Amino acid sequence: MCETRNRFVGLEPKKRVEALEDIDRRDFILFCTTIAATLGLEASWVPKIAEAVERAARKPSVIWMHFAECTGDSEAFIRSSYPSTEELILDILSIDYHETLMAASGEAAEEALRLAMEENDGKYIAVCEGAIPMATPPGPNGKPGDYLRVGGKTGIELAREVCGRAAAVMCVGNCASFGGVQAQYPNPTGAVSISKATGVPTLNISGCPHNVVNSVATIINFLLLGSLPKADKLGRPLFAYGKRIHDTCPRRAHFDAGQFVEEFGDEGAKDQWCLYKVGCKGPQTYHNCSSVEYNDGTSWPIKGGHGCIGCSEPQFWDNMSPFYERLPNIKLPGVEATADKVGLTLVGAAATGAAAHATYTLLNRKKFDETLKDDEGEE
Amino acid sequence: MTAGTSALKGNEEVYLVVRTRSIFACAIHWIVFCSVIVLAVTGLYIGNPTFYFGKGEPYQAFAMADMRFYHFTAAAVLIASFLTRFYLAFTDSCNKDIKQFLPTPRNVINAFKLAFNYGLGGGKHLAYRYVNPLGGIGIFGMIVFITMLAGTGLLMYAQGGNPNSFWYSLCSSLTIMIGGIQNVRVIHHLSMYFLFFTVIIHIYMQIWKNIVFTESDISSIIGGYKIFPYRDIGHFADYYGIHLDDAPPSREEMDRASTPMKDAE
Repeated sequence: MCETRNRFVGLEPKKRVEALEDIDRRDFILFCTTIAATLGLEASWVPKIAEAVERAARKPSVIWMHFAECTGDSEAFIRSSYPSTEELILDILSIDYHETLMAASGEAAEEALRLAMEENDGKYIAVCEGAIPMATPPGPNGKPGDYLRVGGKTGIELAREVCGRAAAVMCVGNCASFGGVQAQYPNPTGAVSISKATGVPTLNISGCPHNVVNSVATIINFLLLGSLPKADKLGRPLFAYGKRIHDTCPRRAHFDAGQFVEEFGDEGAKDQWCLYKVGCKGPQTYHNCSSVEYNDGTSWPIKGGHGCIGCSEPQFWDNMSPFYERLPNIKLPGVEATADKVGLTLVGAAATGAAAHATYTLLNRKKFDETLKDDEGEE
Repeated sequence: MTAGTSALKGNEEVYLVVRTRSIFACAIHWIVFCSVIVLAVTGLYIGNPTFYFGKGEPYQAFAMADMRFYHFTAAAVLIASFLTRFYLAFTDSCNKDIKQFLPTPRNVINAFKLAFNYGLGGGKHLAYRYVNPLGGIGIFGMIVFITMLAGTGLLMYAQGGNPNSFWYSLCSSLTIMIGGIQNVRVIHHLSMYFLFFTVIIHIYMQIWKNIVFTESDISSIIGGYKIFPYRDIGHFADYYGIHLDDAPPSREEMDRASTPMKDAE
């Protein structure tokens, strides 16, 4: 598989040019197989997927919106090669509006958005990237949502307009799905997820950035069955977020064996042992990184020797940190301590209290004995 | 009064042997004790694995997997025995003790009195036939912490389950409500330490009570019987709605009970 990939990558420039005219059969079947595998379907589904893609006479119109974010998900999107970016943009999807990929700017861009929405009203797929700031900036002219304005409209207005008229809303990346880094404490801009800001139910392809294979598989699922894939309680499709990273981790054997990296750079790290003790959040993170990896199976954090930071989980920056510890710290008034410290203090207090009371009893034995005698006296 | 009576010779004091627990309640106490020990040891390893068995390839060692297996097995035993004990609290043959563990206003007031009495000495010594209110509140704490441990443990265990099942979706809803799996984990760890906190006090108090007040709670949890000086019975005659049906033992009964076994034969 790897060799095939490398061969393909070698031929890439030529192939990419050809792909603009028509995709060759080999690439097309490879694409369909990749998608079938990601969706967890067996080989007999490959022809059906091919049929569905071919049958889609009008390619699904996609309006890709950017809100408060770093464009990392678009960066991930344009690094796809199974399918390649050209295939995605021109052959598989009809991306009618994408602020960072389209040539138009200024008023022409605004016009493109208006046209795209009118042409496919109620039929397009809205892909959202980035969180929506809801807070009001300080100052006399501050209005709610003013932290983000595109073409004179606030992020909230834009999101409600575009998502409200879409057939389906797909959030890519953690920001759109759950608010991302900017929604973490103290969250000065009041950033929230798309579904919270608009009230529209969304399908969340979470991650920082999201994995393109998952977003494309979701769109193909939509083409194939006319509906979005089954999602978990957080709106993430189960085909990609139904298992934890830990469940299919290539280092899982070392976890079960009790072989752990104690610190980065030690012998265990060289032998690719489990990163559990240096704070890997794989056991609490739902994602399929461990099976599909990133950048066309090139690598992913744990393969690179760094623990998972749980980027596909809600509020991961707050909940999963510190990233190099197993557990989050407990914030008590004035103190921040680990659960072990709090617990050992408690246990120590109990033991000290018991010892103190035993000493007190020894010193005041008579008092306790008299208590017993009092009873007899009353009788 | 169920078991029998005895009188100490050369001393006018009369002791009664009182049945306080069924054998099931005693057995479950020690099953819970053993499973909590196993859970704590394996749990501390799972939380912070500090050693591993065997070196070399992973197939030569299975330390974490074994520890987790023992942890889950002990957890299943704990939950099963805990639920059985809950059932016994309503149906036990000799002591339907659910009221003794609940922090009712009456129990709380009596627990404060006892805490003062035990803590500083002085006041009137109160003997209780069953669990005393202070112990009852401590045990209520343990019940809360064990329930939290079992609940959070199940939430974490459900993570690896079938995502299409009802159980999985229920557990993930609860996890989201608590604020994510990391919070569940912190609660699991803290509950363990809180349980240890109450267990240390519990063990200390039982030993202390046996020495200072010669109350036989330790024999009560092992054998199900407790020995009381007859003068203490008056106090607990009407506690928790329990009445002493039996009349005080007659002189003959006491003589018979205090006669050595072989002589009687």
